Amino acid sequence: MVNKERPVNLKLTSIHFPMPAITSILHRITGVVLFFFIPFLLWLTWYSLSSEQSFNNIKTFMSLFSFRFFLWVFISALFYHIVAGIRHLFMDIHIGETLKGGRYSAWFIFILSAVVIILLGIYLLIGFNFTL
Amino acid sequence: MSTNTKGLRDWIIQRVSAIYLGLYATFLFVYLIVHPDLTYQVWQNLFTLFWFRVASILLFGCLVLHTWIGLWTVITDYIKLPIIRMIVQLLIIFSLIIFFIWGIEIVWGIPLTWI
Ligand code: HEM
Repeated sequence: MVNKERPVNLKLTSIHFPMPAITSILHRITGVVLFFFIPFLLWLTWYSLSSEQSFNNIKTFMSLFSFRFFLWVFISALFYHIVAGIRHLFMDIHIGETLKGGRYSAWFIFILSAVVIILLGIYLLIGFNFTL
Repeated sequence: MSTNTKGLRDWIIQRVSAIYLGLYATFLFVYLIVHPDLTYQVWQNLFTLFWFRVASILLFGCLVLHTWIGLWTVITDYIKLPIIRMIVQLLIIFSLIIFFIWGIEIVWGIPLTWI
């Protein structure tokens, strides 16, 4: 039987996600995303090395929005994962491990990566000027 | 190694491989920044160098270990049904082995120079 008096919490605004929880789950998500990018990276390395022709083709791929978008997603995930990873490593050696320190560094890496990802997006998605 | 130190071993491997992956990525990033007009010859020459090939093969090894330990943790957290978890783990191991062999094939195919 369902107890009608049980506490129900569906007021979304009252559920708190502290910044360290958000940065931690993002680190996990980007880790999984990066796994799916491994074949793309291997292919890109192989293709860029297989001949001069294919190397130059990659430059033409850069004129495709979809290719630049793909690249943007990858670099963003990698950048975030590395920055959050470095924070993780610092905390592993007990630097910034306090509650307060953890919150500050979580905000710090969040804002830092947001800025870098947005700027990179502007450069790659909007500002990128393709000339051969 | 006994089962109760396996976790610690994995923990260390994941950190050491993370540092190596980060250093390699930083190197490539700096390399691409200092070569804005990269040509095929220059790029291919990098992969003929013995030390860079060793570094790249080490990278593939670290990538496999880091990703395996990382994904293992994620899967163990979310997939509770043992049979499904086994299948997903096997799929991951299978893909990582293929990635590793593929990576080695890529650097292997290029002629070798020492300096
Ligand atoms: C393509 C490359 C990479 C892939 C596929 C990858 C994947 C993953 C995955 C799936 C996890 C598990 C996340 C979790 O348990 O929540 C993880 C954890 C981690 N990654 Fe990566 N990673 C990559 C590169 C890097 C790099 C370059 C660094 C460098 C700083 C790094 C640092 C870390 C650290 C420190 C952890 C441990 C986090 C923890 O214990 O919760 N990773 N990675």
